Amino acid sequence: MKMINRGERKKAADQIEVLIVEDSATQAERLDYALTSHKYVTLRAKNGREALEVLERYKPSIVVSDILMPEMDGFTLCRILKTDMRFRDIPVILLTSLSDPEDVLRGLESGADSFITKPFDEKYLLSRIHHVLTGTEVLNKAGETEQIKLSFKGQSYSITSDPRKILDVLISTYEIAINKNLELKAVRKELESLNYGLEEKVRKRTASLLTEIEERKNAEKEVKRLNEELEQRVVQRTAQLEQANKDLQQEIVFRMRAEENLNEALKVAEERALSIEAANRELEGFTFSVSHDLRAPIRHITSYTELLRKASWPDLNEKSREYLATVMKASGRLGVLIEELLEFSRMGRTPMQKTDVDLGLLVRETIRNLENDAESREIEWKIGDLPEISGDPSMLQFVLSNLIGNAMKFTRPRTSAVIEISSTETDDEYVIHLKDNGVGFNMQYYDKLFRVFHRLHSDEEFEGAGIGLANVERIIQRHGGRVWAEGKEDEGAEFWFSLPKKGQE
Amino acid sequence: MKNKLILIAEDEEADIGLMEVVLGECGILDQVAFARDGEKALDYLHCGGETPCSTDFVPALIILDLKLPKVTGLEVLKRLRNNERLREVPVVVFSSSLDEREKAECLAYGANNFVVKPLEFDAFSNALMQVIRKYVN
Repeated sequence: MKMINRGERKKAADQIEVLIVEDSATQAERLDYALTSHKYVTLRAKNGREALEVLERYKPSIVVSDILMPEMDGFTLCRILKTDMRFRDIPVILLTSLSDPEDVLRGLESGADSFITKPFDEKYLLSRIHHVLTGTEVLNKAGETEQIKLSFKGQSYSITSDPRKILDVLISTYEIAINKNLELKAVRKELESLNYGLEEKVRKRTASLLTEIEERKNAEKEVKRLNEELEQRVVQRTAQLEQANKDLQQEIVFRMRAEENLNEALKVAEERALSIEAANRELEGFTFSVSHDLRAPIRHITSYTELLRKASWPDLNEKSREYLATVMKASGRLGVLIEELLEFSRMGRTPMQKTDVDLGLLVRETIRNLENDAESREIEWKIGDLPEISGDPSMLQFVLSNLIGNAMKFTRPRTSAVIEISSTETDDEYVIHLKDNGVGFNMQYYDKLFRVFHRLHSDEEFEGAGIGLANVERIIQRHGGRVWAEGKEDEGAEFWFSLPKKGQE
Repeated sequence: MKNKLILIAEDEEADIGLMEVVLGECGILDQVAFARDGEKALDYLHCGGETPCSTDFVPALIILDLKLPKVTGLEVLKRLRNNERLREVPVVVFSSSLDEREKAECLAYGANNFVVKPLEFDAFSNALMQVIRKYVN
């Protein structure tokens, strides 16, 4: 069974006919396509026997044959062609892998003109065909060649091809080998560079992994350290808290004890205050009743001395009159003393009647009353704005008439007396200030200033019982305020008293 | 002691002496009866100093000391104010006391005035005569 190429009928005189002997249909088709697309005309056979049949009828320019095929292989076909006179001039190209030197030797022995390695390169195939065709023409003219005997791997080969053909085969084989070698080198180089790249990558990766591992280790270490630190801190803090708790409990116990002590002390203080208050009340009651009971006798002494004076004055001699005058003066003083003492006692006993008091108004009223009583004198009054406060009006009147009265009394030696009254205030109190340019007092005796029966001036200079300022202090204290003073002998005196603001007392 | 215009209840002889001087100077001493204690004052008021009692006697003014023996001045005042016949008689308390509570108490029980005996004779004299002039025509 033969297979004839479709292009057979189209064959022209200048066209070259190629017989493709190939059992694999896909290989045959590839070859066919490569050749026909370069203006070759093809014939096709599936094996050597079929090829011989084709050759009986057609005379192709060249045979391209596979080696391993059923029924008849490529070597056998080549040998037959080279021994048949009719076909020996048709060049034969064997398609081989040329991996085995035996293939080459057997190819040479069979008289093949050239070899093409599989898988073939199209360009190479075409150049090979062209080369073989042109070379053959020369060879054909060279005529007969002698036989060469070769032994390879214990087998002997007889090669009849002419040296040019052999050389050609060898060179092509060598070329293939070199190509293979180059390919191999390239592959190796590629592999090497690939390898290098890989190594580099591995090295880099390893390095980065190492860094990473180091970092992780460090991080783990840090975490561990932090954990330890945290634990330690927790332990420390717990200890601190426990200590604080202990301290607190101790503090609580301590405070409770302190509170107990304080309560006890408070109780004692309260009891003491109560007993002092009771004693004070008793003392005041005593003072009151004593002065009360003294009042009647002194009244009688005073009154009857006066009656005596009226009744007997004309009959008395100078001496007796002097004696009587002294008795009257002494009894008069005693009377004043008792009256003031009673007043002092009364100020401590009488309940306070608090109302709103306009201090400015009260000061003016007091000055008017005092000026009416006193002999007319020139006094320069400097009175500033005074507040309205909450207090007992009659008690405050007593305070003002005492302080202002004192100022008037102790400026008596001055030809131009100046008395100033002003006030200042803080968040919770008013401070009233009185200043005069009188005879003043020595600060050395300050502690006697507000005490009962203590006087800083003789009765000859300035009359008085020594109770007024004690009473002033008592009243101001009952109002929740303080009183204090400053003085300089022969330069004047200043008095201050404070009164709490409304709602602060 | 017959029905007098003024009754003075006073136990202190020295005060009585002073009052006698003042009343004598004014010429009305014979119009005044003195009682040395509270009991005597009440007796006089109920009988007018007469035996048997004259029950229709009403004085023009009563001057009361508070610290009287037997019956106190305040007690005398209370009884007067509970007696229908004597309820309207002017009563002036003439006391040594400076006690505000005593004063308040007396006024509350119907005393017309409360006078503290002054220390000086002139002031004493003035105070006494002022009271008499106010309540006795």
